[in-house]
Amino acid sequence: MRKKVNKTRGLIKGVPTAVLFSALIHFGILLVAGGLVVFTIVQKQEKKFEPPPPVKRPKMELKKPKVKVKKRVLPKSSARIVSKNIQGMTQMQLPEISGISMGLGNDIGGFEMMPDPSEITLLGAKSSMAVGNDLEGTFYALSLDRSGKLSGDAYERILQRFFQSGWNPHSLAPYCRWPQKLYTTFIYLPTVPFEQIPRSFGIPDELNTEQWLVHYTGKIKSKTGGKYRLRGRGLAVLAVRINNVEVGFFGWKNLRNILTDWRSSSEESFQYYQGRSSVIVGDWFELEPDVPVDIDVVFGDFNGYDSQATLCVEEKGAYYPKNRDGGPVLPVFKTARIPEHLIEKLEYLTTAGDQDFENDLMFNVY
Amino acid sequence: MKLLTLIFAGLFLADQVFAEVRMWTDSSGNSFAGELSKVVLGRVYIRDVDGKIRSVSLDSLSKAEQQYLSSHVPPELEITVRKKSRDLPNYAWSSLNYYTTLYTFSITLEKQSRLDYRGDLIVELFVIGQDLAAKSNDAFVLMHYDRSVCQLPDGRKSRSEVVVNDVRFEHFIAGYIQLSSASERGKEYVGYIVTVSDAKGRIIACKENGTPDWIENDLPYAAEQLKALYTQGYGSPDSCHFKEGFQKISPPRIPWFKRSEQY
Repeated sequence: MRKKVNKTRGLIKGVPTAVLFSALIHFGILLVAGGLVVFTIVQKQEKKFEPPPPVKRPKMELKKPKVKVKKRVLPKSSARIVSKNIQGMTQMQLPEISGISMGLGNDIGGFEMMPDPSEITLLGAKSSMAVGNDLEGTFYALSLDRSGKLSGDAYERILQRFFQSGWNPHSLAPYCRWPQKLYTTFIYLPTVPFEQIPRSFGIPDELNTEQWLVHYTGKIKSKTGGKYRLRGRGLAVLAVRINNVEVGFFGWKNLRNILTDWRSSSEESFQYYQGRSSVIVGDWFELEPDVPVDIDVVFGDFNGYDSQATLCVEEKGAYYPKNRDGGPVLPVFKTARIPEHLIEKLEYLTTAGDQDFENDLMFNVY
Repeated sequence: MKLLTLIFAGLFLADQVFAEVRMWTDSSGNSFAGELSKVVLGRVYIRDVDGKIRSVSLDSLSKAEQQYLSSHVPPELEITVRKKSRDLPNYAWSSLNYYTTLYTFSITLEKQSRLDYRGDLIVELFVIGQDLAAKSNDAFVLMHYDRSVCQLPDGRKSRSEVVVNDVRFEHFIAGYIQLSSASERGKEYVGYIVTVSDAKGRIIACKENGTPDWIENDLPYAAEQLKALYTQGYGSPDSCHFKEGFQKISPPRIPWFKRSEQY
C-alpha cells in the first residue's frame, strides 16, 4: 500500500511539472506567434503607403495571334510590277534600226525609218515601215455593220458591190471598218489560220470576223521599167489592180465568176503551188522607168479556217530557177527588203522553192 | 541545292563587288581606311589598307555607313515563280484545230539578308519552248524575253513582285500538209529562267524550271546567250530557234510534198 502511495505520489508529483512546462512552452509559442501576426499586419499596413521597389520584369514570350491572310494580299513592304505582253512582244530595248532600201537598179532608193522590228507582223506594222514605200492596209469585218451588230449580208453580195463600184471603199461603208491600219512592204501571207489576220490588226477574238476583207493601197515604181506579171494565190479572194486596171484575180474560181470578168490568159495557171493551193498567173503589166503607179490589193475570206494571200513577181525575159514541181522560183512582191526575222517566220510557214524571199526585185518609190 | 547556290553566289559577290577604299569607324570609335569585303551574319568585314581584315558589327556603323552598304551590298534573295496558263476560247467562227495558250508568270523576290538594299534590281525572264515541227528533242525556241526593273522596300523579308502577262504559245494543225510529221505547226511550253541582277548588272540570283541540264548547269551564261539570241532575232520566236550550246538554228520548214488540189 505504502509502495502504491509512493508510486502514486511520484506520478502525481511529476504531472504538474510537465504540464506546467508544456504550458509554458505553448504560452511562449503563442506569444511569439501572436507577435509575428501583429507585426506582419502592421508591416503590411505600412507598406501600403510606400512606393514599391523597382521590379525587373522578365520578358514574356507572347504567342503571336494567328491571322489568316489571303495569299494574294502582300505585306506592306512589298512592291509589284506588272508587265503586259502585247502580241508576244517584249519591252526589251532593241537597237534602232535604219535601213537603206535598194531600188531595182541596186542604187540607194531612200532612207527608211523602221518601227520596232519585233512588232512587225506578216501583215505589216502599226506605223509606217518605210516612208512612201509601204502599202496601207484597212481591215473590214463584213459580218458586222457599223454599229457592231451582225450584218446578215452574204459575203459574195458585199464583194460584188465592191467590185462593181470600181473597188470604191465607200461601198463598204455600211460595215465595220477597224480603225487600226497596218503598213506593209510585201504581200506574202502563207497558209495560216485566219485569226492571225484580225489579230495582227489588234482585233479581239470575240469580235465576229467570220467574213472579212483587207484592202491595201499605195504606190509602186520600177527604177528601170519593164514588163511584169504577178503569180499568186488567195483561198477566197486575192485581187490586184495597178493604175485601176485589174491584173489578176487569184482567189476561188466560184467567187471570181461572181465578182469579175477577169480570167487568166496563161496556161501556167493552176500548174504550180504556193502553200496549200495552186497558183494563178496574172496579166502582164508595163511600168515606165521611175514612174510611180497606184496599186490596190484586196484579199479576204469567209467561214473561218485557213487563209492565204501570196504574191510573187515575174519579170518578162528574166531567168528563174525551177523548183521541184518544175515551176519558177519567183521573188515575193515587195517594195523593200523583208526583215530577216520575218523571212525566218515566212520560211517556217512555207515550202522551200515555192518562192524567193531575198531576191533584189523591189518596187519601191523612194 | 538552289538555295545553297544562291547563298554562295551572294557570298562570292560580296567578296568581289567592292574595290572602293573609304573611311570606316569601328565600335571603339577608331577610324580606318579600307574596302568592304563582305557582310556576313550582321558583321561587316573590311580589308584595311594593310590588307588586314577587320570586322565591325553592322549595328555599330553610322547611318551614313549603313546607307553606303544599302546601296552597294546586293541582297540575298529567294525567288518564287508562279506560272499560270489559260487557253483562249473558241468562237463559232474560230478555225478548227487552232489553239492559243497564254502564260502568266508572277515572280516574287523576297529579301533574305538583314541589310536593306536601295539599288535597282533587274529581273529578267526567259521563256523557253519547243517547236512541234522539230524532229529532235534538243532543239528549243526562246519564246519570250522580259526585262523589268524593281526595288525592294526596306525591312526584313521585304518583297517585290514582277508579273509578266500573256506569253503566247500558238499551235495549229495544218490539215492541208500531206505529211503528218510536218502538219503540226507551233510551239509548246518547256520551261523558264529567271535572273536577278543588281544595279551594276551583276547576276545575284537565278532560278529555272523545266530546262535541260546543259542550260540549268550555268544559268548566268544561259541568260547571256539567250539575250544575244533575242536581240539578233528581234524577239520573233521563229528567229530564236537554238540547240545545245545556244547555237542558232533555222526554224523547221514544211518539207516538199505533192500537192494536187485544184480549185
